[in-house]
Amino acid sequence: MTRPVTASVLHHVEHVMGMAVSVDVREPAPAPGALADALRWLHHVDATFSTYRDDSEISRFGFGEIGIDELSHDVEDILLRCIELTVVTGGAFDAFAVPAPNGTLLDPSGLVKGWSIERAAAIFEAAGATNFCINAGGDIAVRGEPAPGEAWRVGIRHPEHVDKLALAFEVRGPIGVATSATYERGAHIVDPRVGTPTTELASATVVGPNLGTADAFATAAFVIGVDAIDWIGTQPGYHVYLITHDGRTCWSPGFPHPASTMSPSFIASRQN
Amino acid sequence: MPTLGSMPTMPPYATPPGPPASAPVRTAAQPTVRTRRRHPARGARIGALVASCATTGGLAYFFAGTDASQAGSPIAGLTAPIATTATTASPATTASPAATATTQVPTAGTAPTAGTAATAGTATTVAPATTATTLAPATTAAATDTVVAFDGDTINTKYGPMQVQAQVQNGTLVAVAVVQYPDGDGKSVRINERALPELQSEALSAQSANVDTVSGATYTSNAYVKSLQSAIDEAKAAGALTA
Repeated sequence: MTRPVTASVLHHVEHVMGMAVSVDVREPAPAPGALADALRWLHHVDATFSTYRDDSEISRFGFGEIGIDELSHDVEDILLRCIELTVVTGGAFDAFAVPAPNGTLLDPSGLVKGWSIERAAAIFEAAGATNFCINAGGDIAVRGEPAPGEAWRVGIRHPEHVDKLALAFEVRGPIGVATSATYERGAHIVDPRVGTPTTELASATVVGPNLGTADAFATAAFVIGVDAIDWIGTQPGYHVYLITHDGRTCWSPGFPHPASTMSPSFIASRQN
Repeated sequence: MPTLGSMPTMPPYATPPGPPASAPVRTAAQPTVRTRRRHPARGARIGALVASCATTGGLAYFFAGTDASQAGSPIAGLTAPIATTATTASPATTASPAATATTQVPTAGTAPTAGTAATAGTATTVAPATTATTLAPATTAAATDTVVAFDGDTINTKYGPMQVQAQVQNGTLVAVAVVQYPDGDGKSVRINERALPELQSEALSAQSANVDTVSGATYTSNAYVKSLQSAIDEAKAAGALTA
């Protein structure tokens, strides 16, 4: 049952945007320079969108140091997309309501992380790579297959045990997988609709065609709670897997079939 | 075969307009060349938004009268309870044999450092299958391909000590493993007071599940960054890391 080990033609870990970004490319190899381009892009995103840096474009805009007409297209696009996502999520995702590290109320980070990885993936694709996986601090852009005929096996981290998985499932690209959770820094996801931390879920994972949207939806699903199972049904192509603090898991009907999951007894208990 | 290969396309803005191969990277210092036509109302829309945020505390204000004020019903128009719909779709019968099959996969034997790597939450960098691919000595590795590990400083957090290890191969960082993470038994990382008994007892080992990558917010904390940076510094000082 051992899967064939397929060598990566390119494997790199970059520390950027305050996290480890891992790139795993399988055959065929991208054109030379693709990795450098992608990394340069990610560092550029960090310099532009970091709410931890007072000199980033997003911070300077938040401070009022630069005006609307001085915004780059990327920032403009992100802000407008954030507005759309706020509407679509009923306010559960809101880049304009929760205090950011720089002290402003402008923080599109919940979209920018996934969006930037999605575009990094486009850089590799444009360079000829068709099978690869980029993991940015737990948000994943998948393309193609790890090996001919194989599917990528994706695990969802157990909310309480860092070395364990709550679920594993198989996907083929193109697809994005994003998880929102609070396990590391306490209950730090604030419900922008009420201004207080959410408490119902320990973890919310969203899969869908675009990692930026999946990233924002994961935050929204985390805020919405188990009702996100119904809400995600209004978003074609997107599916959600939720773990509550009291140990229940549930997922929307279209979520990828688990390749490996809890015992039958646990599943049975979940169905009650 | 469970796949999601045929996803619908995205609404506008979600996807970058075309592959960015022509100009994928703009450095911060470069002046922005505006070649795209802007809708005249774009700036005004953002301006109105930001003004509203400054005065009202965010877009949530707009929703306060509709969705948000209805406690327990975050999305207007969706009143049906959740879990039943979801769980009846659970592929209970197919899940369990698959679980058996995958958890039997012995990965430790093929990946010398997988044990260490699998303890890390930083997924891809350390996921067993990926690590095995990178580190497996069977792949006709020359001497220069040896992976050298550098431990970072142990950083104390309120949850306990954290230490990561940088793994360097051919002058580049190929993986980051977590040597110590705050609290091995899960007690002090507990997210709140309620237990997860089933999850605790039934959880998969990341190592045995043989996954390629792991989703889940990971080590973005200062402790992780500090420890990793010290490991990188050490690797550079030793001349092992050139990238």
